[in-house]
Amino acid sequence: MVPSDDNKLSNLRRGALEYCVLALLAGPERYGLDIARELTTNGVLMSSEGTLYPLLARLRKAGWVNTSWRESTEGPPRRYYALTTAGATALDEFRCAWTVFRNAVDAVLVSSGGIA
Amino acid sequence: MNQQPHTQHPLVARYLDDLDALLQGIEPVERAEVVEGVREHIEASLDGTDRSDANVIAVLNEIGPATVVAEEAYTGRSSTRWPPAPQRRPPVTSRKWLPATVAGFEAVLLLVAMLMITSTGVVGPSSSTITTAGGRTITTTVVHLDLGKYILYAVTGLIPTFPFWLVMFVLVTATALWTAREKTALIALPFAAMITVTVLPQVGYALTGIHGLHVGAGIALVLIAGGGGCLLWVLVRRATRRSQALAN
Repeated sequence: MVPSDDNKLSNLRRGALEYCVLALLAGPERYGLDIARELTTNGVLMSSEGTLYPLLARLRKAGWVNTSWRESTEGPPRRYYALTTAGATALDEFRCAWTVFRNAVDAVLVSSGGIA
Repeated sequence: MNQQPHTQHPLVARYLDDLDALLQGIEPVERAEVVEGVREHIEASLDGTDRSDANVIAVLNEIGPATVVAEEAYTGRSSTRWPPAPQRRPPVTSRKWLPATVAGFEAVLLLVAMLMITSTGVVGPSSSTITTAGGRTITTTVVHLDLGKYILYAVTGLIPTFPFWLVMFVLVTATALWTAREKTALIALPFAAMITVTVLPQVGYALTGIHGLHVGAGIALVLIAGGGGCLLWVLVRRATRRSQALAN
């Protein structure tokens, strides 16, 4: 069975998306809507904004992010997410693993003539 | 900690209920975290908008179907408790019949309020003619302002309509098709109409006499038929659309 484009993207996202969220939190802490809007900008990394929240819950449960409430000048108080030390370590490990993985995939695709 | 005001829009409430039901298979703390996260997302997205049905639907579309969010929550779990999508019909109080029924009851109540205007006759002028010993005839016109009698007439007129208001109150309170503010408006509308019909003619009379009485009564009629009617039409149309959205 040949997976559809949606399924291909979904399969590629799996395992990578949570590290993209960690990467977005590597700078200043951010709130959910802000993270979701960035991830859905081109529809590649995330297609439905709501799927961010189960992912954030998992990251918080794993101890990779923590949350705090802050007053907002633009509206109601917001829950902000920040990277923990454990999260930063996990992100660093992923960066290394991703580079190796991407190079390996690229090498295979290039050798088969699919990528210039 | 949750400091956010919760939107009471029926479509949002329905979406969050569905999501919560779909997440029954995961730990309560995580389930609550996901639902609250989505709720906060909706609040933040709607902030600064007029929270119209169109805006709410657009925000919910961006969030994605509750089933997709729930599916993500079950990702990586060995549990096979992923429940099927809830296919339940909307509750009986969230179906199309309800706005139409409430509209009927409200219309009756507004009509009664407008008919009450006829009781302003108790504040009308009366004439008396006196013939003096000298043969002169003196006609005097006296305008009676019997407010107590007027209120008594109004209350007496209202009593038969109480069952209508009571049924309307129960329906409006029970349904999820209106927000709390909209429900308050619907419940208060008949009272506002009664007060308008009672007060405006009196104010008119106090200002300019019998002419003011008639002008006040006319303004009251226009306000009830025009303002009250428009408000009712908007709220009923809104609820009908929501009931259709919930049924889809």
